[in-house]
Amino acid sequence: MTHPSDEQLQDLADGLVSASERRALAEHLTLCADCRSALDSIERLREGARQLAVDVAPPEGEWDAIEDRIAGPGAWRAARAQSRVGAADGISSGHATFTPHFGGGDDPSERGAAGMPGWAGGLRWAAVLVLAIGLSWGLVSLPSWLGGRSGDVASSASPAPESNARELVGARTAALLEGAYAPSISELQRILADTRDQLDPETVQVVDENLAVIEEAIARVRAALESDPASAPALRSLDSLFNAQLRVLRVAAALPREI
Amino acid sequence: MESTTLSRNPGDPRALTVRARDGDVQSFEALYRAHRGRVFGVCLRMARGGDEAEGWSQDVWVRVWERIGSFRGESDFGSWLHRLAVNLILDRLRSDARHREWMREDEGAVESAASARGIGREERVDLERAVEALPDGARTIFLLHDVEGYKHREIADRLGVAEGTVKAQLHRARRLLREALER
Repeated sequence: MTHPSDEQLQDLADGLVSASERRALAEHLTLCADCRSALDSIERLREGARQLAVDVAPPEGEWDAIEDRIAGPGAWRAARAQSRVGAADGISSGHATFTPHFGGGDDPSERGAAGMPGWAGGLRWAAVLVLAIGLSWGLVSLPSWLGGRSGDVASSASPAPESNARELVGARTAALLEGAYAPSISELQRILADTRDQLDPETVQVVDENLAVIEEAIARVRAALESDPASAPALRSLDSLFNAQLRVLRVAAALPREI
Repeated sequence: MESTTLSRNPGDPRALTVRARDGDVQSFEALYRAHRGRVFGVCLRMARGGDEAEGWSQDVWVRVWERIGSFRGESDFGSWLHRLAVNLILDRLRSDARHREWMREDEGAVESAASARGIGREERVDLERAVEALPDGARTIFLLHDVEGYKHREIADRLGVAEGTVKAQLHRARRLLREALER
């Protein structure tokens, strides 16, 4: 047999040759040191290649970027991150302060009306109505975490230590969210209480109905969190609902200035 | 009952995938932390630079999140994940203008891997560096076959090329690598 080609030797190493071809090649290899050396080289390369399949740590912050893409940026995540720090330090109650990003000015009384034309009031009411409708729909089609799964978790006889840590982080996240939104919401509620006499009764009724829908949803999420404090969807919803409450209050509080 | 079992074993991979399918981001994060090195490793090997690898790695995890509902737990999650990662990478390579013509361009390349990328004769070339120096087509197929363990037919199907082309590129990649390593 003449010297086999490099491709034939590679096929031999890959187990891709027929039985008869393998016999012929084996016979040649017993006689030819050059071809044996070439085959050794191929096999060393294949072995080395397998060793290249190593895990490599991704850069810091990769998870944050991924989470932004899959869950959207939300205050609940920042609160949860802070809660984890507290839990890791063995802190059992929240003394740390946390400020969610509301997307507006810091002063609640300034939010909502800044830079908006006079005709925007009507559009904004349409937005509020849509918001309420959207929330109502959301309450009708309850996600799974608000139904059976949290009950299932609560029925667990002996939660693992990891579950306790998860629940601690979840409870602290919820507390941070509640504490962070509360001052702005209270301030806007105070402004609305002072100015609701300036609004026509029909508008007041729409505002109250919208807020009632949101508050009902918040109550249901709080109940779900009592069963499963670590539920990420519930924490996200709590964040979204506080944000929605804030948006409605901002619009309502700004209305008297536009009349 | 499944839910009770899951709550007692929060770190169990199957429990994590079930919870992630329900939209539990924390469980998904646990899966990410368990497998991130594998995903980033394959992205880094297949990419032509860290930035590209970082983008692909994120894209892989977003796709995992979108498609985790299709993972039924019949196979190992790591294998499913690896296949999804490689498929995404190949999709990127196929749609990337820089790579679209690489098969054709590689046909004309006859110089050694080292000289093609300007590596000096005096420079000690280890395998990783030699792989990095391969022309794109040969490199991609070598990585898929010899490193990631894919078959000729699978690679040909995913890349939309003939099986003979895959085999020829693999032969060529190995020859170039041996030349570089023996220098």
